[in-house]
Amino acid sequence: MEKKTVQYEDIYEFSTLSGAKISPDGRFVVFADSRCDKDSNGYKSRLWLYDGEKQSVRLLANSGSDRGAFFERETGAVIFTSRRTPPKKDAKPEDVKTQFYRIFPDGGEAELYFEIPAMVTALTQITDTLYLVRATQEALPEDERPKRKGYQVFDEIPFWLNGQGFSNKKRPALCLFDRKDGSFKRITTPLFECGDANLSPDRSKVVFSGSELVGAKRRRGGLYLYDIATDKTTELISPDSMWVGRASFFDDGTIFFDSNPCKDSHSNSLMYRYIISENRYERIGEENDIAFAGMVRDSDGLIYASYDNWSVGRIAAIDRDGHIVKSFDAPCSIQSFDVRDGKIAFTGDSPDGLQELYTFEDGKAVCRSSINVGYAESHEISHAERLVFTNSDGVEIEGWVIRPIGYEKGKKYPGLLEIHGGPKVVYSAAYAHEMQAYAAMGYYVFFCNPRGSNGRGSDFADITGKLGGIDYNDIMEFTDEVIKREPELDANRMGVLGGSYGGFMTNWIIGHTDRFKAAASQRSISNYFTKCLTTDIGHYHNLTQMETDPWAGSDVFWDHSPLKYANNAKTPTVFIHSDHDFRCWMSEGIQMYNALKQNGVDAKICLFKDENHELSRSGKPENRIFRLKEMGDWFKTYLK
Amino acid sequence: MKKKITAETLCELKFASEPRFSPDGTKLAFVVASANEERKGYKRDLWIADDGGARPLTTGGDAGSICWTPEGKILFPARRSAEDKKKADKKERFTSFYEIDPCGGEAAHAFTLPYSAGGITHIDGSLYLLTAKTDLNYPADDAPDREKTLERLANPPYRPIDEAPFWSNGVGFTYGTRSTLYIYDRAAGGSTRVTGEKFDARSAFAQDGKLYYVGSEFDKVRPGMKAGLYAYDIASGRTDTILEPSDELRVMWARPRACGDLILAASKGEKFGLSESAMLYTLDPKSKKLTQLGAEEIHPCMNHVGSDARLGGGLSMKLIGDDLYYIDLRGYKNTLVHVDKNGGMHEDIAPMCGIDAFDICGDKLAYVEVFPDRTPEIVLNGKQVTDFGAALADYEVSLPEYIGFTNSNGDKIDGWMLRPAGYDASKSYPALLEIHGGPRTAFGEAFFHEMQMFASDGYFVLFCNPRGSDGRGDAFADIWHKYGTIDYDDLMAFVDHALKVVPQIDKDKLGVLGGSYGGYMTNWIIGHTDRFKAACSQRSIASWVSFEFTSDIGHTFTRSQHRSSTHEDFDYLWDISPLKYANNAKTPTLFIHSDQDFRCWMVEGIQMFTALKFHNVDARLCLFEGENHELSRSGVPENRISRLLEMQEWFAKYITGEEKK
Repeated sequence: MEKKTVQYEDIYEFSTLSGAKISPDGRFVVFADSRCDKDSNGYKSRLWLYDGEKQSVRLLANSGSDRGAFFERETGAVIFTSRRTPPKKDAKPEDVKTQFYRIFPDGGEAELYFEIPAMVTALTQITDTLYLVRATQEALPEDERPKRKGYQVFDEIPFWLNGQGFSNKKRPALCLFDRKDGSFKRITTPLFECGDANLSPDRSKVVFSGSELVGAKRRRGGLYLYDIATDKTTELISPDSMWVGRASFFDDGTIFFDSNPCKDSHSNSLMYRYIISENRYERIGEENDIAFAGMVRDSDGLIYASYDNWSVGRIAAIDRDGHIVKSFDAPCSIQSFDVRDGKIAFTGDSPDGLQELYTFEDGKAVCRSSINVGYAESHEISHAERLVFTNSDGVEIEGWVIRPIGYEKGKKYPGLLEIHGGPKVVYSAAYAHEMQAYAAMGYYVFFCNPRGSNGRGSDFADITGKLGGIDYNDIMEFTDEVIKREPELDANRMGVLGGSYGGFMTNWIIGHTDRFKAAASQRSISNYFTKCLTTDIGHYHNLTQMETDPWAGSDVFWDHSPLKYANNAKTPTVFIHSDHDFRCWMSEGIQMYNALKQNGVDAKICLFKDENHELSRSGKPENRIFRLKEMGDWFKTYLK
Repeated sequence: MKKKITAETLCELKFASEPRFSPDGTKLAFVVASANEERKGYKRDLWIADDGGARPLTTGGDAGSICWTPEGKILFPARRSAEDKKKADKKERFTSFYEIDPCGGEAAHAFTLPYSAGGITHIDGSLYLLTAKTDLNYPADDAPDREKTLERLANPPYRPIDEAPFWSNGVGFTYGTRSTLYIYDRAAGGSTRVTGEKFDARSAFAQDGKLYYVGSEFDKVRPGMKAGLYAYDIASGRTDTILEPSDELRVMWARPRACGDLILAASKGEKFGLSESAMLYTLDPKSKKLTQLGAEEIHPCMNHVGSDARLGGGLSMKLIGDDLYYIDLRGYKNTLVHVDKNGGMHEDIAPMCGIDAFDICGDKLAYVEVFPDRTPEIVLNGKQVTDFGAALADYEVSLPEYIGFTNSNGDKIDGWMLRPAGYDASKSYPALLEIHGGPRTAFGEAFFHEMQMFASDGYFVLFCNPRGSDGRGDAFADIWHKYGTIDYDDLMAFVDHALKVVPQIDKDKLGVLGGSYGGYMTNWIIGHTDRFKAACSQRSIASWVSFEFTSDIGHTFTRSQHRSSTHEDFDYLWDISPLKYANNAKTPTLFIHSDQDFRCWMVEGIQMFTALKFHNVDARLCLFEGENHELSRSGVPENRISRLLEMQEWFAKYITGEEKK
């Protein structure tokens, strides 16, 4: 069969998977798949059920808006959220609710099970009728909220959150919902921002982290224990002494938690255990230097955590001393996972491959689904060849090179350097649609994990106070390395592109070198003053990245701002930005764009309406395609 | 007992503007605007005045401009018919004109033009001049998928922007758009496009078969103040370049004089650089020789004294034969002056408070007069023919009292106070310092609704024209490369002076507020002194760096005001940025900003607000949706009222300690 080349429109043909959950008896795994839908210019998500006995996968729920599935303890039924019933015509926007449906694995259609009067972000079953719910709630009673129309009132920072819009005086709250009587109550205080929350093994208590946000969000968070029967919360650790992040249980008497050491913006969290009967806590697992992505407690009292080990997803089981007692490596990255009585299931991808469901058998990952197999087998995917080199500081840097489709030895091809965001994330070898689409257009695509990236410990991630320094050097040296190894790459026809921190780096690059003939700077950072003083995480996270503030360190802020060097830039640049991106607000792209334009450099800015920082990953499909096309056309003009 | 002026009093006021004589001078038409019932907009109607008095002409609430036809009827743009509505729904660009006969009868559809026309003026015979907003991306009549393209243009999923600047306050996104001149022949029924596709026209004037216009062609980057002067011969369609766009001479406008030359306003910037005010010259169109008009330099200052009780425009200038008439800001009064053929200056009308707009026809004169105790009135041939001030008859109005002083540099600084309602000399009162924008504008004694509201609320209202203000020439206006120094000194000295001469002001109950440059100065003040108990910073500037790269005038204004730019001297721009001192601020501050303000973009208010919250200073930011830099003067009435109430509540909480609800 003649394989098709990867196109922009392929986003309608493959899925991303999430939400893997194992049934109480260990037989089933439920997971969700989400795919771009042309008709609605949105996404359709459905639920699949893997049957471990039959070793096969079948479609479980298919309304197009089904997600967030988990198994009901007593019955083994699957509970999930859905918007399959459209809201009533006279429903007011304030009448927000989340509907939960129930479906049985062994047959029957789904039925409406219960409704919660809130936008639920997470739900855990406590008893057969009681649920622990996380939902965004208004902090002020109705009569104290601003009433006048026509304007927004902001009186705290942050006042907007990427992906949520205006968030002034709204809080992620912890609540209880009882299906018996429909009662729904908040158990955290009105101004409290809840971090992590988990049920104790005996289901009598909830441990959670967080703090009250009063006026301005600060880097702090305490540890709390809520007794369900008495409805009382005890503060175990004050938010003034720590910044607790994750919180769970080893056993009913021992809490596991981690805390950001707060000395910089890159160090991995430190692990602790809290011994409830003794009202004290102690550091555990001092030998570990890892950043948890997901966390699940299993029946054996071990806490399983997923994290990046270099570019490979690993699930490690941690005992109450914080030691990793066993670990399992995925083929590539892990999106979601669950553990039940030692059985592990996860959704993840593989080198050059798309996402599927996996389980571990005898320590090895076994693929259990074929959601994306049809797409993978019918399309020509260019292999991502891994390369590792040692940089001039003696540190190994991992990266990949994808050759252009139709590659012939001896010919010359233009190339694109992709830079990831974060900075504390990782690229992996898995199929990446954007890269494959550009490879199909005849480009080399190459990318690496420079210092600052995740997966290599806190020291490797340390670019605090050094943005635009060692990270920039690593990326340039990586580019030199690729040129050395790939004589078909035309060094005079290279483009550079990246989003978020990758957009910062793209802005930095064009102000420091002319080696690239085109650039695509997306949802970027250009000016650290505006980054820190307008965005949802700016005044606490980015400020810490600079290790100073705009008043004590205005020189540092300016020196690290790509805008400072914009007058040196000559590279034609297209900017992609979304007008509801509150992580890196459009002021960033706009300032850099105007600086280039007034200086006579060819530049364009594409301002996407009603999109946010996640445009390239979960924006409206049409917009995702516009974005790819704008960048693709730009590179065609300047590199081909 | 007189009523107190409140925020809502705004809805009872009527604002007269745009006085225009009929061709034979027997009638005067003008526009009257007021808030509509829902408070979601304004109704604008035409009125007629003659020897018999003044009376309304239209009632549709949608007649906001006047173009007299040679037949003595009035044309105005409106959308009234089903056809209009259909076109509007399809997002077509068009302008429908309606015509009304002042002698009787309702308005009828006159003609519809296939472009978005801003203004229409009569040229000669059946010819009319129109300035249209054209869009380079607008699909041709025969373009494929035209309906979808129109829909996409009106509601784009994303904006592909490749021009700079790409937005303009009050207009919106301007990338791909140009101001284009058309001549419409009503008799023949077609329009002729005068300027080219990429040409952006500014001022235009037609007379004796020639159309003179100022503007420039550009592709990607708008040329700022640089513009050329062109003459289009209507009969032949030929365009002559009279002056090429140049950095050495910035042309504002030009008019043909009866004696055959041109009179123009232009600036060479030789003494005061980019910010130097324009001067009058005459230009010989053949030799291109430029001569200063008059022995002394004449710098027309056509700025209006500041007020929020004004809606609409009108003529600020008219050339009749060889005589130029224009409204000149002298100190703090708008005066009608007359410059004769040789540059001799005559001051014709200097009413007590000032005038806003005028028209002359033969020996007839009409103007909009401003007053300290009421909204503007129309004066026709020396007689006031309207009585819109009646709306305030039952209200307690505070008259401005002059409390100017001489600063340490020997300059006279004009300043005033309004006394609080129910003023009792034995009591003490809080006071608010109002700071005007610009900085090159001026306060005067014109009725100012916002100030009256605060006076009614029990505050002294203090306001002055510090160095940097308009009406006193270039040397007085020169705070260029001096922001935050002598302007700040004058304002603080004015407060000191007011405290001295008005012992009833409680120095521990002072507030400060201002918008635009006034917002910049309010931000500056709270970082340099704690003397104010509360502040309200509106549509402000916090950082000259972000301003330079986001404001619609960022590139030019920064250079003209600071003689520098971010890349030339970051340290200096940071030193004069209020944001630099935000860590010292302790004053609880209310920020007002609008999300379509492209003059001082919301990035400014947001940075300053965040800086204060970061330092645990009480602050609140009200972000008005769909409003722009003109919120306080021409925003939706409901929003203007909300803004006033927010300020009242903030000052009540932090200055007088009341809890207002």
